[in-house]
Amino acid sequence: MYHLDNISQQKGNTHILHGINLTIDENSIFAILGPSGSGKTTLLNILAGIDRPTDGKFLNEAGQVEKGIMVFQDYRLFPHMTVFKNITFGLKVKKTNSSELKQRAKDIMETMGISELIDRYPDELSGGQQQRVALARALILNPKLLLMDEPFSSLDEALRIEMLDFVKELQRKFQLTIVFVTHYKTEAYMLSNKVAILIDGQIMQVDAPKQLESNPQNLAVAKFLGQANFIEGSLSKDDFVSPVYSGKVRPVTDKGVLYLPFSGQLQLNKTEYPAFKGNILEKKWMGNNLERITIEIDQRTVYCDLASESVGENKIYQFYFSKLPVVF
Amino acid sequence: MGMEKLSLHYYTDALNDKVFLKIFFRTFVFALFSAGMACFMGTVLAFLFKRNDNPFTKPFFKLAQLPVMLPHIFIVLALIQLLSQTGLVSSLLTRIGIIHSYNSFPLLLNDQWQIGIILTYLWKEVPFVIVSLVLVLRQMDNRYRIVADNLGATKWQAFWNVSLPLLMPAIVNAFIINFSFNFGSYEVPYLLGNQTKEMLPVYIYDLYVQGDYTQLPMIMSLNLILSVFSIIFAGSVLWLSKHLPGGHTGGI
Repeated sequence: MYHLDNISQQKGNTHILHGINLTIDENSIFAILGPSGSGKTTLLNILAGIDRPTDGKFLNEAGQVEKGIMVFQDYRLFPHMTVFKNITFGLKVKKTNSSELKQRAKDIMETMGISELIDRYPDELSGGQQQRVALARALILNPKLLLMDEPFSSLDEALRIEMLDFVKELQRKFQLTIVFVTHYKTEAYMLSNKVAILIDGQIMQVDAPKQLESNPQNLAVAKFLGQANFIEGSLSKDDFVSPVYSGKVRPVTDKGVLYLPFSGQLQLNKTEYPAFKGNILEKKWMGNNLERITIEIDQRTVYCDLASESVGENKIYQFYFSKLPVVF
Repeated sequence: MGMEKLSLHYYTDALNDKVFLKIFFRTFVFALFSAGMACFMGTVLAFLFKRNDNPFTKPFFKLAQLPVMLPHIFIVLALIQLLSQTGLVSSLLTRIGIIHSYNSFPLLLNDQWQIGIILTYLWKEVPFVIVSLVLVLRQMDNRYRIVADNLGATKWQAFWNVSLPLLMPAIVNAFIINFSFNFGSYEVPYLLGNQTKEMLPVYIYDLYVQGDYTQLPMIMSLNLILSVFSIIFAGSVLWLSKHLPGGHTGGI
């Protein structure tokens, strides 16, 4: 288990991180998800020993400071070195003997499927190949902790999914602890069962992806995760009043914003929580047998994802909540 | 003048002339040394000046840009005013009693070791190297040094294996420009050089101003040898630099 103990970072008068407390299980993939400028890279730099926090500590299970090996967002392969020299750089500076260095390079290049690239320079590689070389350069050092900064952001869709699976495979094979930061929630959800949401330098929530989507702890998390309707109204105790919906709610904070995620909250099947009657303005095919429905209620629009062909356009339906809705 | 046929014998004569070869070799070694020294000093200083947020080094970097803009002749005249035996420094030292007469001031201009020429070249070329390299270093920022550090390299290993090779194309570029200038420069060695240790451009020009038109083909062939050698040398340095660490990143 790795412990981030009250880590803060300040540069000049700007507070980048505020008292981050986290525990990260060994031999797992841990995602830190947050918008741009939330302090994700700063946090990762601290785990990599690149930056020192102004306050707090990052310790391993034995209570020692441990430095993770980083795979950078832009890979940062040394442009003047061949793939072989890039990969073996960490071993060379540790003065590993030549035969061991060559053997380990051969093994890791086979694992990464890049043996044929040995004499190429970084500018002769595709984005995907560069990422494999960057991973090999880190993994050849047998790190316990691997850090990845926005690892898939510059890959195209198909390659991204392929690399996500590949990284999972590597994690199992090398029994690594991987901490990666991203601003794409699908990436975080696909790679990790435990996701920390970092917004404005603060950890807002640490949860499994499903829990995050169904129970965001505050409005900032809900807004960042997106894919939801935010309806303003007034709240007194657990009674909410708005042009879209008025009735009982589960208040979480007192800002008076009704949170209706596109999926999972609204349905046509009757429950004990009637929502509203609305006219179907539009249906958009979303793939996976889903349609995004635009519902008009009293000249306001609400979106929700339903199974395809559940509703027809320009017809009025009664909607229900699957559970008592949350108001922030 | 009776010279109506094409002939290469002036070139062969020149290449067999021991005096010419001696001056050629001297000029080559001198240009090489001065350019190398300027690159070495400029590289060291560029690493000191690369941070643009350092309040101490920032004004020095700005100041270092000034000599790049000043013409050589300005520096030559300034050096004559300052460092000749009857110059300002010598007068000042005599006045305050550190040396007892002008003659005790060491011969720094027109001297055997060509110190005056070297100082002029360094004054102009060190800042040129600094300016060229600092721009590259700032563009490079610390990105690769951070990677090297994260992979376990010491500061020296990161400098030697990463920063320096990445800078190599820019250093080679500056070296070629400095060398070519030093090798072909006329006015600086003419004004500050030692007459017994003549440099090639001064030797060629002296031949020319003697007004002997029968020497003209020889002078032209010397000129051409000087120019072709400069080009071949620059090409060879570039070729060599492609095979040095960092050569792949482009050269010039």
